[in-house]
Amino acid sequence: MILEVKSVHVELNGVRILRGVSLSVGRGEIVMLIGRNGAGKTTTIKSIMGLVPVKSGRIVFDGRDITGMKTHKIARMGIGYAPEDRRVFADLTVEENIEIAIGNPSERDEILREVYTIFPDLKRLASRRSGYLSGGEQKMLAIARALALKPKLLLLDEPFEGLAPLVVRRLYESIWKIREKGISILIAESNITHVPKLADRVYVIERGEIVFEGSPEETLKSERVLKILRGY
Amino acid sequence: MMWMLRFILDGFFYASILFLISSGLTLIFSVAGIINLAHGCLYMLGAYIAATLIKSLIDTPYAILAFPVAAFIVGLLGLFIERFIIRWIYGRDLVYQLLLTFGLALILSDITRIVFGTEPIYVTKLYINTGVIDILGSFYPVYNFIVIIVSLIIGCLIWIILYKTRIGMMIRACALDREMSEAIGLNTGNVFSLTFLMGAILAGISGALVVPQSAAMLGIDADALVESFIVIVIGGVGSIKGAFIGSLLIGLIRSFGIVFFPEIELAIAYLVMIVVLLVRPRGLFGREFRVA
Repeated sequence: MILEVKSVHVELNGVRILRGVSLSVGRGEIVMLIGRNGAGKTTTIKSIMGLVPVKSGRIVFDGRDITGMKTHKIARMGIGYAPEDRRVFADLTVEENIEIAIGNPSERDEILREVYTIFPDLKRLASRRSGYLSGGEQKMLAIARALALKPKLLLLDEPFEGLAPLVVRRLYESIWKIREKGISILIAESNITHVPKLADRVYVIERGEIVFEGSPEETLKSERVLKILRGY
Repeated sequence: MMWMLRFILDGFFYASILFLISSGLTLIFSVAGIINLAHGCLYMLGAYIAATLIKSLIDTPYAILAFPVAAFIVGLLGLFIERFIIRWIYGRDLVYQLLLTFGLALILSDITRIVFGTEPIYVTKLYINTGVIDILGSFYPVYNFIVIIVSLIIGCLIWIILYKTRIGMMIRACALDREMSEAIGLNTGNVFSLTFLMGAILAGISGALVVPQSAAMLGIDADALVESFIVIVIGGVGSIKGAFIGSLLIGLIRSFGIVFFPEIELAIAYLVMIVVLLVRPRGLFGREFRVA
């Protein structure tokens, strides 16, 4: 296992957001964390990145306990994070956004080449200020930036939200290419339709607890899962 | 026309000093989200350290070392203040920052008074020694030219560091989004320290540069702070370009104001600020900003 989250509890402003979330991601695996808005997907991802304080529980990455570690150290250990709201550095160019995440400047050219083969559209936009990109292009850039870290694990929070169907298909292809490189991926999604295209394994989260774990087929067939996602 | 040129040059001289102080202030604010009310004191300390050194070295060519040494010492002090004091209040309410940095300002001015005494230190000899040059029949101090050129060079250096180096890229990223910068592996704590170091060096060097032309004395910290606030509000908070244009404007207003309307010289600066804010509430080059 590249990542193991073991009964993590997170409390924000006295509200219990995560109540003992446990999940794992195997090497080279794409795992999807499905849940409705507010179920705790983003908080789970942020707790792995060290962006929210973990009250109890442990997070183990690549055999090392990273609970409570500083965010920049977690990132440097090999976890790339593309947040839901993209958060590209709007004043920096596309290339600068990617470059800034590169840990070792001597690998710059090689990493840029690799990132551009996964996201060919970004090469054309390299010198454009990222604030001027479309929403879809910014989503790609956020993932490209995370890739520049040379991660072993990618955390993608709602990568398909608000994208046109054509762009979604392009993003599938990019994600497949990333998996071919042996990078494990954890995707948080509220929409179950992407499961058959991408997932090796699925977790369903509801009210801060993992309520289901299974293969894509099991997930899509499960009445219980559909009921949870519908909300009735 | 000659007198006109003289006022313009004087305006450029004031503008140079103001630009150095205010670019440090605006840099720290845009990156760390801290309104550093102790910035004026760093400027004053730079003036005192430089004045003391110049005084003892005045007859040797080493007097010129007073400027980099003063900037370096003040820079280290800025670094120390960030690491051990300001670090604890990032992201807290604005009131904490204002109280803390105001308290720091009081402490620093008291320390300055205890260390350097209450008497102003004059090193006008250096100013006189650098001589005058003849511009179209009128004499103008060479020292003022040196200051204008030095601050232009420093301005270019800041631009190169911010826009042409990897460090500058990190500084700009941190200014835009600290959390995301952390999440892509940047040690933002170090970037903040570096920013304070740079800001304090700028305050220190401007204090040092002003000394031969005027004096190191208590109270110059408040004037410097107030004027650089006017500058960055006019130019747009967080913008180095804004600090440059704002300084030019205030520098020229000051040099002409002193002659034509000495009673309301400072009032005019405020008036310009009010007009700018009415027309462009974020200043000339300002953009939306968040407090980190």
